[in-house]
Amino acid sequence: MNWFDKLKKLIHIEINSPIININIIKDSDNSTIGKYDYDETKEKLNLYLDKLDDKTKEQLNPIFQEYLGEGNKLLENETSELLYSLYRYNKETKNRPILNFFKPIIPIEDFRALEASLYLRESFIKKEDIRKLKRDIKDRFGNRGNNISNLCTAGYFEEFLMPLHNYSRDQFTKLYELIVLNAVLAIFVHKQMPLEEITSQIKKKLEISKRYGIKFIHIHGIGKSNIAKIKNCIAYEKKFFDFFEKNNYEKEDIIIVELLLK
Amino acid sequence: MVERNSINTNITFDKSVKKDILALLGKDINEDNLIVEKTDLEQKVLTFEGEEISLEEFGGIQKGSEVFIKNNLVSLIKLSKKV
Repeated sequence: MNWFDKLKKLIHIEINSPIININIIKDSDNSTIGKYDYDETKEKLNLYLDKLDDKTKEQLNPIFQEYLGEGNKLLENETSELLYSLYRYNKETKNRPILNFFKPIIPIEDFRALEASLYLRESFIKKEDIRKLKRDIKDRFGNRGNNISNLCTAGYFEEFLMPLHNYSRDQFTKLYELIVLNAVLAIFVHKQMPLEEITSQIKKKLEISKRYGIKFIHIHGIGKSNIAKIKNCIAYEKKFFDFFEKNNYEKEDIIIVELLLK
Repeated sequence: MVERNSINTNITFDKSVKKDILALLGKDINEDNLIVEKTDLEQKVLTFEGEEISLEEFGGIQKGSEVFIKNNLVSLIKLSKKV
């Protein structure tokens, strides 16, 4: 008898239809009478852990061990969804050229951050919720990882860093650290950023950039409130922004303001 | 209908039963919110990357002396490449 049959026997599961997924859950609103329910369309069985007595629960461990012993993974739902999404993503080749390009020329930790950021970008394009993915990158790689994630999503690796390396490896070596550590090329406006910080960051970053011949900076914003904040900032600090040539790109809920030093 | 065998069935769990799953597997949570062995609270469990893991980070488990999986994107990218 395999683990599956043992589990069915233990819980008295009398389903003869296929079961692809057994999901262990709590009956939080106490709406279920039995120990499980079965969704035929999804071929999914919900097993209510809180409906099992202690003796039955004790007997789950050896069944889980047998299940794990076959090479299976016992995963939390969101983790499972993300892992299977990654399995599908790994079969795609779209981002391989950029990864192959940067792997030999940037630190390994930056490469790992870039790798994760490219997946995040794909999720962003599909309009999926990327907040946890972004947090994960920052948790693992700190502010540097956060910068890489922002720069990657905005296309700076392909549009700026790749051509820069192809143009001059020397320049790339000089500028890469600056760009990734200080994110000098751009400001990414977020919900918690006060208006004054936008101009303060522009001034700070331009100070650094000018020394290296970079005479532009981009302001990025996603979402209606961030777009409004950027526009308010430019209107409010008119004198400051008059020193720049401004080019705006706005589409749906994304804005990019390019500031070029006159 | 033909019944699927265990090879095709996977087990998942909801966030709400994380602690219960750990308890079933003989694990506990220490005062630092890290997952430890129930029989030896000093012994912290490790992920496949050799790291300690908190209840919040707990994403699952795989075989090989019960190797734990973090629910972090970067960890899962590494895991997804292992055959």
